[in-house]
Amino acid sequence: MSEELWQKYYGQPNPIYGNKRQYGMLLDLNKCLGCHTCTIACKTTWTDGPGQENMYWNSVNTKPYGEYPRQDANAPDGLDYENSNLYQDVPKGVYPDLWQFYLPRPCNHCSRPACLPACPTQAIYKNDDGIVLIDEDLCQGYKNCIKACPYDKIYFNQVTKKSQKCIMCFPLIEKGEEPQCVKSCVGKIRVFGDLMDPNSAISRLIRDPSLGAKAYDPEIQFKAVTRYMTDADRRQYRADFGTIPSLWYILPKNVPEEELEKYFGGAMRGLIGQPHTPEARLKYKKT
Amino acid sequence: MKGQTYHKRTYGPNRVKYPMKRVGARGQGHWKRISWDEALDFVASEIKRISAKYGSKAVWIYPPVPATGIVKQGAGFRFASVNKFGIGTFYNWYGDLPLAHPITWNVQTEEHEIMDVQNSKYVIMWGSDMVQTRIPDAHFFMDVRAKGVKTVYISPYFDPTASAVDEWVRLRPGTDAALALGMCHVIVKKGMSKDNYIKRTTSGPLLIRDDNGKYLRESDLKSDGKKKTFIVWDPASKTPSADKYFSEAAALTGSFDVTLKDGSTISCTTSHSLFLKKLEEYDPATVSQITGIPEADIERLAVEYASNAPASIWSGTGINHWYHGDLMGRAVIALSVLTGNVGVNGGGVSPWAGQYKMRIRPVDYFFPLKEKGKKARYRPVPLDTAYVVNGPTETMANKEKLWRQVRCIWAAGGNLLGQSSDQNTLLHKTLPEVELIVSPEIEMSSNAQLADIVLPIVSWYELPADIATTPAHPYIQYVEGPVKPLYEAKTDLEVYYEICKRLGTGDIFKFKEPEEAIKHLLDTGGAQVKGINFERLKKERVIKVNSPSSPIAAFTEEIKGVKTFKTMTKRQELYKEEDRFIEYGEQLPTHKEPQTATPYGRSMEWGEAKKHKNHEFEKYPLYYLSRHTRWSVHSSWRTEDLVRKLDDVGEPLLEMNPLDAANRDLNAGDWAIAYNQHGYMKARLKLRESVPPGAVLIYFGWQREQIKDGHWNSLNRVAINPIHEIYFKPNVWGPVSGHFDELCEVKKA
Repeated sequence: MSEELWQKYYGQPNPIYGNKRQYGMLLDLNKCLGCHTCTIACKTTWTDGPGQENMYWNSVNTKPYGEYPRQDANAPDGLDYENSNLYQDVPKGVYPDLWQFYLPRPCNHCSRPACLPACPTQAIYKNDDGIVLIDEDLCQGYKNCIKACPYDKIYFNQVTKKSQKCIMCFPLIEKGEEPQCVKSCVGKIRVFGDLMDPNSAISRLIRDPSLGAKAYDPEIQFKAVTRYMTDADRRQYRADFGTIPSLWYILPKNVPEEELEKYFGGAMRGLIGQPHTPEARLKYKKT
Repeated sequence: MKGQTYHKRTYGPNRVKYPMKRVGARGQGHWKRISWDEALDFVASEIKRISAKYGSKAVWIYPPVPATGIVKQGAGFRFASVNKFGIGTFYNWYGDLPLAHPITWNVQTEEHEIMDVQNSKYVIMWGSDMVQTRIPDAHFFMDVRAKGVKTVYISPYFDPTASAVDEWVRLRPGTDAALALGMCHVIVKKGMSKDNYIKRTTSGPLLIRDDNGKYLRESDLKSDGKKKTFIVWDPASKTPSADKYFSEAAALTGSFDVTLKDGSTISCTTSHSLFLKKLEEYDPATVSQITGIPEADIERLAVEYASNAPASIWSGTGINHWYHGDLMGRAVIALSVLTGNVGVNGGGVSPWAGQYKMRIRPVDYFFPLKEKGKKARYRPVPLDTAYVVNGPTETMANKEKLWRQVRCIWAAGGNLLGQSSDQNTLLHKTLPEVELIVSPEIEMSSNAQLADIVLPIVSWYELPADIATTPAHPYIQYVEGPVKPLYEAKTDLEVYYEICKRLGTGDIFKFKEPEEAIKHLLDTGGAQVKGINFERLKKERVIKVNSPSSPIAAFTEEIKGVKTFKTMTKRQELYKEEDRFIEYGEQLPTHKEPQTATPYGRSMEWGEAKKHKNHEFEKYPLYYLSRHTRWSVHSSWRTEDLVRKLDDVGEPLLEMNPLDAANRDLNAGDWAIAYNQHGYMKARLKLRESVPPGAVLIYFGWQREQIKDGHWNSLNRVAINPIHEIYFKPNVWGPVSGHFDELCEVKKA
């Protein structure tokens, strides 16, 4: 990401919501093991209760075929949440010309969240850290947020009749710790931090891809001496939805470029001409 | 990932909560709750009865890998020792022992700790699906790649690791030795071999008698010559002379006439010359024919490997779970030796499979001294697990002394009866001969379901204290569960102690509390744990053991000439002279076609093999591979729902290439049967291109009740390679399971 782009996204407080911090993550997809430790760490912490049986705030899928939730006209709300890791390790191509990659996805905690303005009861808000949260006391289960989120990262709890989503482990952040999916990551692929802080490890690593491929540098604040990040493009997943996701990915080297374009909006190089704004009419992905 | 759900298993419905005795037939699932006293009395009296009738060695303890909890698991050895019971093997039985290591270096296994990959300039993962099967360590390989070091994965399957490396090299299953020797060929032809290294540290310069294939010895030349002194050719004096380790004076190649003590003259050749001659057979064109890898790729890989020093090879079960896995291992080691990579940080061949390595000397705990200060020890009577399941072979080592029908199986964890190869022989031939099956278990495993008596054991969360080590890192860890024992669970240690008490050996067994056992282990644990006592370990929890290199690498002192190798010749032995190696033509590393899974002549070298057809292959044209998944540790965690639900559809699946499925009129999701002459497995089909055409894969570990019909391990039989029986040293030299060497056919169920 160029300095210019960083300035545009993160160089000033969020123009709509005013947050002066925007926590986010950078994930090196070359290093993802598809081990789902993040998924289980999240699940055993937050979604181990009634109505959450098939709810994974953080999911990992084998792309291109893996999808969670899957579109299914027969399922309630058109989304099938069962078998969240269907098509694991099913590559594309014909043997031996194959490719696949693992895509870990928590909520994107977007700078311009689509869910937030969609809520008729104003239960969704963005906190001072840029984390997108649902106030369950205000949520009345209209499910508009679920329809609005282009990433399908809001879930409806059939028992409590409330919408629920990733909270970026904000109680841990308040204690000075990192979210569960980051802490637990066995492949050490995730860097967590404040995207708006020009000196944070994450914002430096996003702006200068060469930085992560260097040996341990206390200034970068890497937490293990053996840790490196691949020197490849940093992009957002489906940036074309226009919500400015706070999750950044280092692109997998073994996937054909034209295929990566489909997932990481290569044509846009991470740059969004016209980000979606709440003033504009909401574009529902499903009707 | 799995560890994070362990609380679910600790408190889960599958726990064994109290001692239970079988009522009705074995495996029927009817149990009666009994008290601990009843259980212990019953087991002790049965053991007494069986011992009186068949001898104490007919009672056979199956120990799990001790390093995972040296007190808990090692107690099984102690239990067997003090009562003179039989004891089984695990490391070779699982197929994890790389026999090439004892063959070449006379060690059990020596690997580099995983972190050492950081020192590599070139990395080959050879049949080791790191990303899926070494989850905690895989990041080192991803990190080294991110830093810009080239990583290569060699496997016929598009495993998760194949998509996480710079180059994926595909070959026909079971032809890895040919690839390694082809690379050796290229390296030698291009003059890239490290000849001084070979001369100093390997069997290369030693003279081999052309007449009988044995090493020439000083005792062949002089009547007062020593049998253990080996002979090289001194080019300066043009005479045979006694070998000196690390000398560069000897001739590395050539044939020479030597006069023996009886005055006759024979021709001798250096073993390196013999190896070079062997390598002539492995030119890239031939190797390409054998393996299916393009010639240019073989040449390029060889040059890349040889010109980026140090270069490391991380070999896995993919080249070990084969009937001829020892040859594959030896060929890969030869590649590393030729390039001077053995003994160097960032180099070497590291075949880590299984948590086998104890970074502490356990002898005094496992085999206690009979009297302090004297040498005599209590020892069990070993019997390799392969023979317990399969029965003895003609070629079994020390058969008269060791073979006996086992009458009591004490399967101390490890889910023996659920995970064993050759399920049909085991269930229908072996078990009916066994009068008592004791299953101390945490959960109601397949093993427990087939037992006569099941004893509740504490889970890892309830374990009061233990120590654990691993080949992956150099630390000794203190293990302490956070909760008190649940239900009526006891520790393994206490159960053994209570039985010993009833057999009159309680005082010799001695330990009931794990802390006391840990203190004893650390006190007698040898140089690696010198300076580490119980109090320190309990406080610091994780302590690095003493070692000559850091990160730990194998043979660093030997290749500097500080020490010699532990082999007969004191050198790295690429050449072997035992009669059976000569009988089977395996004095030097070579490629033999798989014993079963090949379309060509079985167990033959290529020159012969290509002229033959394997008729079994016509009936069963698919390679059958049952292997590890990321979702279980063998059969552990297979029944944990949180984990199971993330494994695709959460049930056993037969996976094959869409092309093979189409040829058999099969679709994804169909019920299908994989079968051969040994057995079958029924499961639904998953189709994906990761499985090469001509193969079937099943990720294993399912408990019996999770399988619709058959068993994934009923297609595997226990085929024992006579080379593996030249010696029998439990877990060091013995039958290595070759269960990847199997064929099958698939049809609609």
